[in-house]
Amino acid sequence: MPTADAGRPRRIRRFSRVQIAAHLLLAVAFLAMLWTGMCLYFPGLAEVMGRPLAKSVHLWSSGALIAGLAVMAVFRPRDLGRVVREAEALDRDDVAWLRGGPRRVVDHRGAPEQGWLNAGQKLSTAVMLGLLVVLYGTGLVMWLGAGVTWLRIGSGAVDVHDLATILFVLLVLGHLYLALLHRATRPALRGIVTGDVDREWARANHGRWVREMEEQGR
Amino acid sequence: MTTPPEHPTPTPRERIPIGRAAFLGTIALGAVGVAALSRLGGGVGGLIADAGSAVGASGIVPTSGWRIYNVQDPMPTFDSASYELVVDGAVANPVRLSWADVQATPMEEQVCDFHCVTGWSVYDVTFRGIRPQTLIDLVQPKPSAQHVNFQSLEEPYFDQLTLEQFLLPEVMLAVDMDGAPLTRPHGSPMRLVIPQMYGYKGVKWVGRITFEEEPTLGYWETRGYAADAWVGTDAYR
Repeated sequence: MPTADAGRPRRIRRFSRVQIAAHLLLAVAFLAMLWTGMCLYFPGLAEVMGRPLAKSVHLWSSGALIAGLAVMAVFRPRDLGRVVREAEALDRDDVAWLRGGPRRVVDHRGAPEQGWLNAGQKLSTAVMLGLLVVLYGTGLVMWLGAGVTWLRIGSGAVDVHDLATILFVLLVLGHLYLALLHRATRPALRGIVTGDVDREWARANHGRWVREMEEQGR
Repeated sequence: MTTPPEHPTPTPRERIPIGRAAFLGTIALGAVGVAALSRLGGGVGGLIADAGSAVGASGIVPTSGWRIYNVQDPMPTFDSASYELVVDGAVANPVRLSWADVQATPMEEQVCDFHCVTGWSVYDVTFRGIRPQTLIDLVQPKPSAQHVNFQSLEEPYFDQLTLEQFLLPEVMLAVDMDGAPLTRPHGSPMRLVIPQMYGYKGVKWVGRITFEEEPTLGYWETRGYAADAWVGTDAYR
């Protein structure tokens, strides 16, 4: 029994309600866009969901995601701002954590102390946000290109939209593995659902963050 | 001059903008990719070809900017000895043309763009083939025959044009593409080319052309796509 936790609540608040909502919105919009995108893409699936419905769900999901995130960013700028601020920069411990290689990614023992997000989470967040920009950019070209065919630039926009989707799906699969299956990281799931994570788990995986929180009396 | 401590503990912690670099780098790669692939074209198609066939009835083959779609596997096979083009329906003179007959029919060549409803285009494609008027002169449709059906050897794919659309300039029944006979994925031996409309109107592996009095919805049109698939429109009802 770790003595450091004596007298403190068993759980510690990791994500705000707005952050949980943003994650849920992204997940639902992503799944909707992935499914409808596949229906627009694979002739075999085109018969499962017709083009008019698939296309409007695809476009409306992309709009809903942007609109939802924009509303959150305007009314609760700190919640999403924190994610951006965390993801945009690494510190020396993060770099050392990454240099520790795959072993440390799956087994935190002996790794440098990590903050609210670990270096892997920071990088995957940054790349996913970049991929989202690429997907929106190429998607816009494809959407407008229906009317203005020179805008299509051959198949460049479609190709990159496909590639970015494949990369995004791979990152999501890795994310799902770590969130649902991998024993050492599975306890994080509770955080993105309820907001709270187990304090002892957090201390082992996000030690610097827990220390900072506890210094503030949390 | 001061000597920095050996193990500085920065407060606030230093921020190395690696995340920002990854974010911007991803976007830059995307932009470079669009530019590069618009020139090379279709290179990515191969990556998803397997996924395509896993979802059934689709093949996506990288061929210089083209993506190949079909609704039934395997694609029809062309045999010049047994191939026959049937042209019939509401016409005075129905015909069955052997491949030798088709080859003996006067042909023209044109360069046009090809636009797919799914968002990609191939520019400056050279097609050689038979003009609609040549066929019409041959079979002499009745005045009531205002629609033309194109039945693919890839059952059950077919589509229909109005006679007026069939007679638009640059419409042809192509047998050559870019200086060589149509390949199997492109609909050998004959495909309909109508550059004014999206590619799903351009029936591949054409085996039968029927002049009709009544309009009929084509394969994709019964699945929500527009019968008049003008390039530049949303192409669904």
